[in-house]
Amino acid sequence: MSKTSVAFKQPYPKNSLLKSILLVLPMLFLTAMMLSEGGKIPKNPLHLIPFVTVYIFFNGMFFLMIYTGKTDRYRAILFTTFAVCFVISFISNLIETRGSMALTGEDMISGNTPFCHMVIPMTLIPAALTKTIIFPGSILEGFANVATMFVIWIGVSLVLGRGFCSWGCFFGGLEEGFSRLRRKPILKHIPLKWSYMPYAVLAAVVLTSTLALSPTYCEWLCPFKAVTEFVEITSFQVLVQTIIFVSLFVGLVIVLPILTKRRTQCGLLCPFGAFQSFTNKLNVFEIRIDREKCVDCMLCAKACPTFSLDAKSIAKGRTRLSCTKCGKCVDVCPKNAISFHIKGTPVSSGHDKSRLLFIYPALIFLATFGSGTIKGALHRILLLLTTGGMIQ
Amino acid sequence: MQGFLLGLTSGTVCLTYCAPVMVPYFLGEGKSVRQNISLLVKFLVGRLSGYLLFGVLAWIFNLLIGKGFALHDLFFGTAYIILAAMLIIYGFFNKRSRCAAETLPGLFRRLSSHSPSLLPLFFGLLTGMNLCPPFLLAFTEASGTSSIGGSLWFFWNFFLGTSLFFFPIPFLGVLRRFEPLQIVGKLAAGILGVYYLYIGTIMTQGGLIQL
Amino acid sequence: MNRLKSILGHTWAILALPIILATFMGLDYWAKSLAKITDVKISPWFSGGEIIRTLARENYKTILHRPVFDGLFRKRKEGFVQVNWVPLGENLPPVINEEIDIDGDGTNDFHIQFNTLTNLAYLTDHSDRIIEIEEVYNLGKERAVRVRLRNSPEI
Repeated sequence: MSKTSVAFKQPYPKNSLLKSILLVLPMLFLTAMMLSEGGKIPKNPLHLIPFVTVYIFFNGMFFLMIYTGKTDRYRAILFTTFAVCFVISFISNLIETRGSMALTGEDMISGNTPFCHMVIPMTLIPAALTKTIIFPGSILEGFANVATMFVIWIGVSLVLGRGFCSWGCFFGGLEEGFSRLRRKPILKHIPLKWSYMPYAVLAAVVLTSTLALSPTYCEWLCPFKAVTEFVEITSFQVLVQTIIFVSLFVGLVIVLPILTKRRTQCGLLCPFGAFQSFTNKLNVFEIRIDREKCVDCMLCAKACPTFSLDAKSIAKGRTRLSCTKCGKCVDVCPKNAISFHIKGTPVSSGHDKSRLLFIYPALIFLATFGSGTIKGALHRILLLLTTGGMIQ
Repeated sequence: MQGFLLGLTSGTVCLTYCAPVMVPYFLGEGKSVRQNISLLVKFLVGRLSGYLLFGVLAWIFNLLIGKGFALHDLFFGTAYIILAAMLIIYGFFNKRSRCAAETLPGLFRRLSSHSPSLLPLFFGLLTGMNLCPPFLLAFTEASGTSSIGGSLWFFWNFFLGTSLFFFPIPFLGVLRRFEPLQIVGKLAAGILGVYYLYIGTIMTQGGLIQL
Repeated sequence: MNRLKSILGHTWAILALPIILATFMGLDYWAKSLAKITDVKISPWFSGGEIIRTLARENYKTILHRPVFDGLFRKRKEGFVQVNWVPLGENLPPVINEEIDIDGDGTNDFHIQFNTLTNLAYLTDHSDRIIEIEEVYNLGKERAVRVRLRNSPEI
């Protein structure tokens, strides 16, 4: 298929202004309810301004998704903003409460470590066998306790499957942002075999964590310790671990996404992403390719940030298991051959409805999960502007 | 723990490389689930025998190396580093390994005509002695144990790790998706290699300091 | 059959929004229920293990946790025991001297001298089960220490 014969078209018929407003109205109501936690509107301007800003921001992006028919562009703006704000908010909070980003032994034995979703795959087998969670957190107390994070994970897995990785993961948003800095990639080809690496890492960390009764991915590999919290360097082993995670962060989260325009940490390392891929089997939403419209131009495969499309999968009219439902392939396809799809329904029809039924819960999830963090970051920025410091 | 892990990473590759060779013997026409289980048991007994034999050899090797502590750490640390490097290359870069059973087609033909019941045993023995980097690392680790019991225990766990993937065969038939499993297994082996590189470096450093 | 699949698919897709809303709106309830149903605890390797004895002292109390040797299927060869000191008044005394009997058999297993100002601790073992001090913790007004142990049948 000649590259020059491909022309860009709207992924979906653009909705009229009136229809778009009508479709956004329920979202306005739902986000107002969820963001205000049942009607609690802050009065202090330093909290009210972030609240209103976040409300307008989320609903504005949703309106644009509906009006333009494009999903990925506006999702990416929300997603990247969430990730950046998470870093600002989390680090500021750590410095305010602990004085530094370093995680001490005291924090660990006190159960003060917020439970991160990345640990979930490593905790399951030990929890089943020993009824203990191998993480220095708290079951029910404090911010991001174990039980709360598990409930959120179960809910989002049922609804979005691996869509969590494009609509909720505050780490993935960082790579999303870096991957969009350049217009064109410098490194265009990464051998497909490396896209299996997350599964190998998953197998390795699940087994080693089970046998060691300690989350080995967090200890040895997690690159996001660079922007959250990390163990105080008090031994050679911890120094090696620090070098590893800083290198992985710089390489896989910053440099490679800029060079490849892909989410390389998500697609080439993240064991949670690999684990979450299996929830795609249970989830009702998927991305499908109408083989009658598809011309095998491979634009979707080149655009996919998580290596979830290749010639084999396209030939079958499907994405690979690792699809994060970001919508980029849908937006990029010049023939409208790719669409959000509800399992059990015909592939060739109902695209608009399927997309709407997906992006509604997806955006509500992102808004509810992320708004607190974005509000927190905006509050910190306002503090900086008004008092000269982010820490109270 | 290490034995089981090494066995797991070795097992996926063993299965996916050797399955195309083994499948005609295991899943031929007319073979019932019971017959396949019987074949599999013989195969696994052959494998276990090979591994336990190497367990004994590993212990003898340890006796020959001696117990001078600094030399012990230095020797094993260096061995770990070399084998870890091989495991990393094997896991991340090596294109293809052959199933050991493919190297002796003539012998198989003779066995299948004269003593067909020995075939699965011999198959198991040969595939178990495939000198791939995970196996060599397992040998080195087992050599570092202080007793023959420890060495045999290590290879028993290695055997368990490799065998996990063979158990479903009589029931599920040929695993349909060889290639992804093969790739994941090899990459996991590479990851384990990085771990052994770290351990080897620490041990070598310890040995050098004591010298 | 196709029609049934389509109805089921649409139903599930429509339910996606209420599920997300219910997840967040009932988060506390779901979390408590999940914790109750599963009855999981934080691994003792992190939490220090359950408290087995609280010893009242003059201005503080000594909290002894159970020895931790928990493995996946069986006890490990080495573990630790955690001891916490909690002030009853404002602060702990500058130096704490404590004899610890891990298993309550009447025989002290080790002696700890803890300087709460410098956070230095000195261990004197009375049993071959005791290995060394693993870590000393400064928990604000409280202090804690973990002592590495060898597993023995009595523990």
